[in-house]
Amino acid sequence: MKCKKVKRLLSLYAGNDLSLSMASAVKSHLSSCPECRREYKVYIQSLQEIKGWLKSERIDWDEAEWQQSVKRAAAGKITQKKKLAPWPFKPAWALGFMMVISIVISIFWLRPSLFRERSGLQPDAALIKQTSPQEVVEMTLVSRETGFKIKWFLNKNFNLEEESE
Amino acid sequence: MKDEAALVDKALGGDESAFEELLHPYRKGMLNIAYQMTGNTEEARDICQTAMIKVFKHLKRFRPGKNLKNWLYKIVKNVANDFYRKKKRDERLKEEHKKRGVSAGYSPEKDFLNREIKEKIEACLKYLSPREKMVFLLRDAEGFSIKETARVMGSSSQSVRTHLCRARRKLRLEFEKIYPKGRWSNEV
Ligand SMILES: [Zn+2]
Repeated sequence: MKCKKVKRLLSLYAGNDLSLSMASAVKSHLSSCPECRREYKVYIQSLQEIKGWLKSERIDWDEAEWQQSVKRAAAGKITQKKKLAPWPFKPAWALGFMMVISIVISIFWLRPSLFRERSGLQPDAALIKQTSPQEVVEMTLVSRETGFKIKWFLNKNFNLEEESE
Repeated sequence: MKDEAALVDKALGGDESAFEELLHPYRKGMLNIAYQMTGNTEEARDICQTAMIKVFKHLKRFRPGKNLKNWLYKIVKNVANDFYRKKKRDERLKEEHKKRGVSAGYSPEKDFLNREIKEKIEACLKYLSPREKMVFLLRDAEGFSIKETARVMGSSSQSVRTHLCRARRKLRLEFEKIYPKGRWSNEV
């Protein structure tokens, strides 16, 4: 083994973190190379000293404080895996679904002439006036997540009149 | 060691003392890892508190047969990382305040057992990245094996060796700055 490679491995060798074969290769190099041996000694010394410093700076819990910390932690809620309901039964989905349905129903309820127009019948102006006294229908869509509002104003022929936020 | 699985069950049932018994063997190790990661006793206790809350919260996820010690230290490591990131952010804010001439209300660090030793530790650990520091503390201060360290770090043994190698080299260089070479050249 060459000095360059040994020097790279010295820090691990100093902490007993090399495989047996690697360690013995380093060991045999050290026995014949004073330069690497010197560096190895510095590693051993620095590691020993720093470990000693860390040991002497070791702190501990104050018993009352420890007990209090445990108490606080144990007062927390335990998360359990929630069972996911199939989508129509999730409250958010169900609400959204109901909103869409009610909007659709209200559109057709307010503008029954739409059926006739779609089915190719000529709209009877008098009838429209009679069945829906409103000239303009206002529709508001509210996003449940962002609160973003869209208002649609539709005239009696179901054309978009105005759009606003 | 008592049966961990039984203690976990008891703790899940709301037995506080079982939860304490579960954590007891690691309490000092947890605290000191957090202490050396931050250099501050107050923050170390906060980190442990947050970690313990998380441990209790996710105790259900802990499967008997898994290593409680590794799992626990992993949570401490993650919380310490979060603290570190937040601290860095706060320090940047403080710097900006300073530049704008706002006093930051900084109070000097008082909690240390031995000022001289604490300063030496800080001088040596200063240039280690959080990852290098954590690997070094687990292996050399807490006596974890390379494999255990890898599990806590969520990485491979090879990656742990690489970080350990870098950490010890940096430490050696700083150590040499503190002690001029002559001090031990004739010893050992
Ligand atoms: Zn050599």
